[in-house]
Amino acid sequence: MLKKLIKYDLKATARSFAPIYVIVMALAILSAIFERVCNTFHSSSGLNVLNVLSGITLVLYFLALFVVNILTLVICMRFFYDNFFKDEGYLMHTLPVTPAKLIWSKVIISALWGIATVAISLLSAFIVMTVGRGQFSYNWFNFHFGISHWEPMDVGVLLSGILTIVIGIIFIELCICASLCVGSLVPKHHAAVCIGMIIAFCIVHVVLAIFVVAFMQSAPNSNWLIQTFRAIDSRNDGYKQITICGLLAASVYMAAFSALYFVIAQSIMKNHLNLE
Amino acid sequence: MMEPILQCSGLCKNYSGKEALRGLNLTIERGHIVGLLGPNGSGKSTFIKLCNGLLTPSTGTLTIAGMVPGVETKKIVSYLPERTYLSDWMRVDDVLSAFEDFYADFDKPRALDMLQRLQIRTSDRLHTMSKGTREKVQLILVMSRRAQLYLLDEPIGGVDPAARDYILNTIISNYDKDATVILSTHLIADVENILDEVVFVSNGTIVLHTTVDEIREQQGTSVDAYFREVFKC
Repeated sequence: MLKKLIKYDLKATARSFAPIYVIVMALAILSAIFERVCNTFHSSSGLNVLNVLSGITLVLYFLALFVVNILTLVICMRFFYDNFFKDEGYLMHTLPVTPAKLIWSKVIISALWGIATVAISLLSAFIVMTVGRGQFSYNWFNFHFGISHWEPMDVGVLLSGILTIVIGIIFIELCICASLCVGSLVPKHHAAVCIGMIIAFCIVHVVLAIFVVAFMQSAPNSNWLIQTFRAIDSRNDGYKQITICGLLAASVYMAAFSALYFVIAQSIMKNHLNLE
Repeated sequence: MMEPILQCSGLCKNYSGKEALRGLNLTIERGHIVGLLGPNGSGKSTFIKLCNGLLTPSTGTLTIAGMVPGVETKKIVSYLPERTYLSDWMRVDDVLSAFEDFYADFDKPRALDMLQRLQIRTSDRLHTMSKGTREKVQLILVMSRRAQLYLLDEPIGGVDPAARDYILNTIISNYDKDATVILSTHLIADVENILDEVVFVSNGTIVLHTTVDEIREQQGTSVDAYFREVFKC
């Protein structure tokens, strides 16, 4: 059933995301073409039509990049809200599936689009930065990322970074879902309560982060955590190990809160659903 | 003997301090068409939503075929809400596939046959259809399930008299004889000919639960006339 829900949800959301991705990629390619033409005709300096067009498309590209990231969040929020608590909820909640599967389906779809947005943003930025300047080559990659002399620890940093991004996106989606569910409990002003809940959850995370930083700064040197931290840092590639540890700790933290948000959302949908 | 299709006892539902249902006690047996009749705001839709698990009772118990509303009851209940719940962007084809995917009891040939008779093309998108046609598509989907219980909330509320006849014909010609149909409405004259039983609801309580024949024999009047008498303002 989860597979069927995902198929249905993917189809429902693709029509919103496909056009905005096409626009971002089109602007990136257009911007790269203008840049390339400007460079080819050595007209990169001075004010001429090519330079103006190149500048305009570049500005439009950055605007589109900003908008696509904001829209991803907005579309996902609307997708959750409309599917669970508006008219479409009458269909969703009468399907013979558990609330857990309904939530997972939306979270997986939203996370997929979140990851797709990150990928589109990186890919389009890469096109603008390299293809337009005629630098699309292995050497460019090697110069900027030092691929040829990567060590296992570098791969570890990359993989833990990817893991943190994926868990981070799921964490955000579940936070939105839990906030919407809490918002649905009040008879009026659902959206305001939902936004209030998102802000409240953010405050909780900020407070916890402040506690962690304060602890790290005030902990005595004899503390085992501080000693371990320093011991790792003093090694050759210590900063990479610390980066991996930091990313994994952030992943564990977000995974724990994701579980909490899931329990909140599921419990409300199972025991307090209120499609008035 | 099979368990009643629907049973509730002391069922209450409060909305922000207001009592929508006040201690409802009701048993509905299988194989009947039951009219849930009452004025606007009497609690009919609330009751139907509780049966579908779209609301949770404040107090009391409610069972469908002996089960509390949940995944298992949703497999045997076919629900027509009073609003359009299908996404506008979908084609009729898409909704047919969705129903086929999610409901094991969905009879697609039956749905296609009804759509064909109404000359509704399966390639049409829902947003290109009139409100009445969308409601008919939704009714066709709901009545194409081989469900044990059909819960129809105001199925003829927003449509013209000709469409009402079509909807009522669709209901009586498509439900299995062992299944039960509960339909809520305040347009009693239109539905009374197809009903076996009626439940009069007022202010969240049941004021009468009887058969249509009993009303006609004992009161010597139609259900519509009797309803007007009971709910006279």
